[in-house]
Amino acid sequence: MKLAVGKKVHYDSGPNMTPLVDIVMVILIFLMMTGSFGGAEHFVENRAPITTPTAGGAGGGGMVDEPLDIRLDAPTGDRFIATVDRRQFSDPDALEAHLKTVLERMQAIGRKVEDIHVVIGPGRNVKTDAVLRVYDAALLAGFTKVGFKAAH
Amino acid sequence: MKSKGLPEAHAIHPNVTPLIDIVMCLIIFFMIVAKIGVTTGAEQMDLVETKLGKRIESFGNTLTVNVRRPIAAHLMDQPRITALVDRDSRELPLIDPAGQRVLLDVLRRFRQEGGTEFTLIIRPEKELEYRFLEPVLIVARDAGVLKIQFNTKQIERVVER
Repeated sequence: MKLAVGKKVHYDSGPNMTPLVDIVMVILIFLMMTGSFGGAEHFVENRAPITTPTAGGAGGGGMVDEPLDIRLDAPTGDRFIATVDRRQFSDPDALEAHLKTVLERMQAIGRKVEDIHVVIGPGRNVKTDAVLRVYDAALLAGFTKVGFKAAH
Repeated sequence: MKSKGLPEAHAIHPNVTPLIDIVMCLIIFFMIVAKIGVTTGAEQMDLVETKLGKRIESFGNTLTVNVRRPIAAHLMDQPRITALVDRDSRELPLIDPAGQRVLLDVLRRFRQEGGTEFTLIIRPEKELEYRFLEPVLIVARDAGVLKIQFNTKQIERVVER
């Protein structure tokens, strides 16, 4: 005796979403790997052109008074010595604090910050790391015209 | 009368609609924030860390040069400079074997085309000696470039309380 088998009810489960999910996941992983959120890089502006002996030693901007010289040497590969006003600094923060004091003193006698030209004179073998950290310290101290000169 | 009962439904497939919604949102987010296909010619290198700095929104009127130590023995006196020029990554020596001042010529061209707003972005290696950076600055000055930016890495400024 055959049992009457109920007609199979077919429920439409919709399109198969698995390949779509696979492709979407691949695209997502691709974008996560290749994209970037801008990174942690930024840009430090340099407005004063480099001064060299052949250029007359004057910056291109109508320097009014004597420049404030920062002599930069590197006794060892990882250390630097910045000399300002016969005082030596090997720490950028200490240099920045001293330069702030120098700027305040200059402003107290009536000099404008835009007329003060800070010139950094690195040695030939001073690493760019030290050069730009000293440059950074000068800008953080409040000077606006900071430039470089030929290597000594 | 036959009572027709509905057969028991078996939910064997999870509902993926919310998953697709969320994943699509993530894709759109990453497509908007990702910078794909935008290249300035900046190459992977160890940059100097500075506290001060700002972001550049538009790289339209700029040229990015990567400055590294020389590697070739016969070029030990000049840095290795590369840049993206005319959509092609090129080496721009200070003076090539033929005596041509390649970097100066390129900078003059960009300066002429870009005007006073043309910005030269210099990416020097952290360990690069100043004697290799100095000629790049001199050439930039000779080419009449008024705006120079150093590309550095940002460090967090420690705030003492």
